[in-house]
Amino acid sequence: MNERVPVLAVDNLNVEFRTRSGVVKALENVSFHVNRGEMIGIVGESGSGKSVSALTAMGILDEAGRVTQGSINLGGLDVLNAPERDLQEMRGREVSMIFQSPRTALNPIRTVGKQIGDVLRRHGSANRQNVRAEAIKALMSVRIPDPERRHDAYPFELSGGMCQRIMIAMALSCRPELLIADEPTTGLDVTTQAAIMDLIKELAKERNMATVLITHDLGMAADYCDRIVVMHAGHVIEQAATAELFASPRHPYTAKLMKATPHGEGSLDDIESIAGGLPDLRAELPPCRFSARCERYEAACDMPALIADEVSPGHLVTCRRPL
Amino acid sequence: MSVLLEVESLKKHYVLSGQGPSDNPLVRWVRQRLTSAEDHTPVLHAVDGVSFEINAGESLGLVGESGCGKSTLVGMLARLSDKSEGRISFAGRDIGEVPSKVFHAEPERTDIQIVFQDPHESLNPRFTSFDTIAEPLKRLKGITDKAELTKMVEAVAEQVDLPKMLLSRFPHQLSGGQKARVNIARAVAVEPKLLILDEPTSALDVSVQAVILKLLVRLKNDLGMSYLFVSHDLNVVRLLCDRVIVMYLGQIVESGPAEEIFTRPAHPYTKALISAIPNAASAGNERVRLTGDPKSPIDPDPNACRFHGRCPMGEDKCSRAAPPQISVTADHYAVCHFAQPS
Amino acid sequence: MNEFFKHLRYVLTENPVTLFAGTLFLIFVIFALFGPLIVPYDPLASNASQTLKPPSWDHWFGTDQLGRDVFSRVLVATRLDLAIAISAVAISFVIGSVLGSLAGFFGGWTDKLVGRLTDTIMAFPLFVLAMGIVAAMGNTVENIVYATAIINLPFYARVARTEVNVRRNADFVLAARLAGNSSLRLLATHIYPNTLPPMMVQVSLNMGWAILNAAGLSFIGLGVRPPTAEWGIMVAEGAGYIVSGEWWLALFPGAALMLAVFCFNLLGDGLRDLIDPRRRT
Repeated sequence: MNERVPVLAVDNLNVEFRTRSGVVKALENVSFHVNRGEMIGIVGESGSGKSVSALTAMGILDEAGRVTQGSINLGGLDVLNAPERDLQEMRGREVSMIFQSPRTALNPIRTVGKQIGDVLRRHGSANRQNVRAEAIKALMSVRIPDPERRHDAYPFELSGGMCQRIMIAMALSCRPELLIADEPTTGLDVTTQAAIMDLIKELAKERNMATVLITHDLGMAADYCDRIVVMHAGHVIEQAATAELFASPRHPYTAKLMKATPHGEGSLDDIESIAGGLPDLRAELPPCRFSARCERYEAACDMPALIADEVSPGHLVTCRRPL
Repeated sequence: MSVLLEVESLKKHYVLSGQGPSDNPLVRWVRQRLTSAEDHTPVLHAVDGVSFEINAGESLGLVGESGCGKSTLVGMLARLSDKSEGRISFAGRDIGEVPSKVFHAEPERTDIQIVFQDPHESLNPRFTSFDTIAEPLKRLKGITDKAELTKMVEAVAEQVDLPKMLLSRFPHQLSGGQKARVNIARAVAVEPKLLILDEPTSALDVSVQAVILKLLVRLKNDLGMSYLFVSHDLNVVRLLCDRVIVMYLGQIVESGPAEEIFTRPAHPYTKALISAIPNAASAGNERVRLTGDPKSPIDPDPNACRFHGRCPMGEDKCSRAAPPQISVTADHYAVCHFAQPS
Repeated sequence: MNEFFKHLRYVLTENPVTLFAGTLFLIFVIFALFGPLIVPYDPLASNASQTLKPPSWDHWFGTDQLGRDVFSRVLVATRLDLAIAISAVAISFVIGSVLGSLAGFFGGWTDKLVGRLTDTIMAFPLFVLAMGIVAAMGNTVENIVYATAIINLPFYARVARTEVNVRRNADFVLAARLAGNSSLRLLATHIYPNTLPPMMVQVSLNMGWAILNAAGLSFIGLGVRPPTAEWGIMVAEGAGYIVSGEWWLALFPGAALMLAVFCFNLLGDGLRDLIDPRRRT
């Protein structure tokens, strides 16, 4: 595959959810892409639409959700128009996903080795004879110590970090082009979190795999990602290479998010909260969904047709009055 | 500075009777006849000899990972559970001797309060914000007059910037930040001397975290409370605490002034913790990484360092002798064979 | 109170099944309260010239072997059947949930004692146990109520025990302990009220069951005695006439019985929503 063609390209995506109390405009004009070997971070607070973007890209949007506009191209497949059979083929082979709370994602009454073996056999990379050896190899690939013994362990006998390693082993067993990690370390201890993130980064590099890290932790995204996509209330408001984004955030929300995150040095006076909350996505919304919380707001911000502006190569900002 | 809380060799051991040899006397008797093996019921050392103190008006940070005994320790300090051994003395009185079941009637009940981690789970779904904040005032301060109670609840709500109109709402009608405020209001309503904050911001979005942290600092100054700030978010601990203690598998491994712990950690575990903080500034730096999982807290070897096996600098002697407590500076110590006085 | 009615309206309009069950329940309640006033005939008055008449304009549900109006009897029986079921369920709810709550909260020997008691009751075939109790204590309506209450006890005790147990160390309970509540007050004001929504489902299911049970006891000749109008006896008395073609004697009381059980079974979710503040918007 051509290096220039992104593994995943989401273009102008709109997603709505029908609920009893009205239509939630969960995503609007969301565009982003991931290249081969690249790790991007989708960062935002809860309710910003990070996970919905990822689920839609996998073609596993909830029944109540509806794509009203846009296109998703995943490894050459038009996800929104492909038949379910092709999508199933794609999931696993092209793209895999890991979630938070790995322990609940594993079957509690089967040994972890067997569960890995199931996945390996389903994808044809192992047969009845060599499944045990292949599963142990997979455990080894995610740096699980003593894989022979751990192969026969049940999920409850393993720590949360160990379970997440097993989920990673399963996700990567069929060598996907793209890994989507949805808050993979939430609920894990800091040292475990660091070890898991190191592992994901290392494996991605080794396999030249594209990775999407969904997180609320700006610090973690900065630490591991090449590029960061910032979301707020269903909009992508800014995206840029990590270093550039941190050096010169252009969207007021990004800047505020950085100021709100404690970062080691400095005192409490250096961090600031962001006034207001997310707007009600069921209501009639202004073109800029941050305008109600923004200090730089002026009448021009209410003009329709707000689009992302490329302020420098690869740095897109969706704001009429960028910093 | 006067000492508010003094904890000495505090221990909490759980006898795991269900997991060892049966505690049925008949089964025991038969076992003893059949085998020569000595009966031993495994014991979980949740908190194993912890000593520290909190001064009046001080913020002490308690850092450690899940399973290190933080929560058990907090439960004992707040007198929600009973200790196995040791002393908890609060403002000069040994409150550890009072069984937790009857502690609600002690005068110190008012003085020690907790703000829990999950702002939603810690509110009774059938209580309005008003009911929740009013309850400690009724039970502990004995205020029954409705008008007076309303006045006091409204005053507390104002103190924590909780709009008056939210007082009649149920928890499910409040946002995360508002629920956090209700929890804080309940805890400070009786003006405690020691407020234990159990990960008070970990369930909140970044955008509200800062307001809540600032609110906590302001309340501390206004009401002259001491804080025991339990957290795994070291960035937050660093912002709020004067002193920090680091726990690992039921024991304190390092203790000292916050700034010193963060800039010159002496214990390898503390070093690993600090270098694990995700941070834009540290991207690409060399890191201390831990391998494997912590050892089991069940029947730990008394003659070995509990961190041995995960420790990047572990040596043979670590598995043969418990590490000594070494003073790094006057008020900074680490429990490690390799710690050096500076 | 106004708040409550607003919520009641919300719960009823929210779910059509609840609305249906609620309407049905209301009809039963009206019959129970005003049955004797609105029926066209005296339910006990026999009429030798009008025996075993099929349903007609004069007698909607026909007449029985003594010429009594089946429609009037079915309607009037509502009061007795509901009264037995409601009082039986009320007794077992109160005693069962208190015992279960104590067991779930304190554990230890309290738990063991309550556990043994409920296990003992559960060990019997429940209907046979109820028969035994009524036979032993005497053949009265009161004893039907007690028997039905006793056999329902374990269900409430078990649900209450589990519901209390899972909340015993919930954060909000610990917080309430810090607010100066004693253990008993904690149980009574914080834990117990939160177990009510799941208990309500149990209550409603049990209500239907209790009606069936009371009718069943009467059917086999225990408890309510003829000529009292009661669905169970009416079905029992009418059963013999089905073979000879007089189907209306057993069908209509049987249908009323079925409808009542059906109504209570559907009512469960609505009742839970009604009592759960989280459903209030």
